[in-house]
Amino acid sequence: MLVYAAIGLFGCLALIGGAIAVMLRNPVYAVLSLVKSMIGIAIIYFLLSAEYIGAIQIIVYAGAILVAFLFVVMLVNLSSEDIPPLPRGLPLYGGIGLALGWMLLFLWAGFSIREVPSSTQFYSEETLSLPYLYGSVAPLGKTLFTAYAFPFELLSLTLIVGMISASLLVKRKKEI
Amino acid sequence: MSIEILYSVLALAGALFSMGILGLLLRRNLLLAFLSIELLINAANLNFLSFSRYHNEPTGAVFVLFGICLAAVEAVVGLGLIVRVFRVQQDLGFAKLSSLRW
Repeated sequence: MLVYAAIGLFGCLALIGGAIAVMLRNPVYAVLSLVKSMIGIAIIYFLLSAEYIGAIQIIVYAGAILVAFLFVVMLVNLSSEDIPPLPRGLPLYGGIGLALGWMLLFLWAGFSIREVPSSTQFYSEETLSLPYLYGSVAPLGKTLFTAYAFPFELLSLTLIVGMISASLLVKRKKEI
Repeated sequence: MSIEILYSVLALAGALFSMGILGLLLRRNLLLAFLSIELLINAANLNFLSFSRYHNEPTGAVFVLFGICLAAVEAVVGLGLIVRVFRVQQDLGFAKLSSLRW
């Protein structure tokens, strides 16, 4: 029961952070509220006993990516006067209703479907119950460097391409 | 992990995804529409990790790592593009960003 309460609490933190990030006119506050949402998601990762992913989420997302966003918001000097307010009426309320309806549909499905879906039939009961070192670095690294070694190398290539393209994009023409 | 926790996390991910779609469609500013893409990526990561935890397989967690890494690359390239567009047009609103070449 404690897990449900914690998932509900920090899920609400993530949801409220995301909603404020979508609705607010001041861009700096929107980015900071998205940081709050990311921290809530990281705590959900911790609750799903994936400690390493949660730590990476805090370090990379809240620490690096959103701070880069904040940096660009300040660089282009975006203020709340530049942001048009959200359109009222059908798009906004319809979208909010869609989001909440989606969530209620999943909650209803989770608490009414009793049998396990067919794709999990071949998992035995002890596999489903015992997470032996599930979220720690060792099984993650074993999978990453054996079965997914080639995608991992491709990912490093992608990082280099992204880095070079970003530095070329931001450079002024005379300096190239 | 029981199936109720799985579906609760899926519900949260679905709501976060819809919120990101909402922001992407309704925000009329390049930077803030880009901000909601991060919300979308996080909802997808949450789905991956909840199923990975449900099956007790680290493969989904590996894909979350890939997703975070690709989100970092995407953010870097997108922010570079945004700075470039701002340098040319001095405005990031969707109303002014109608031409592809200048």
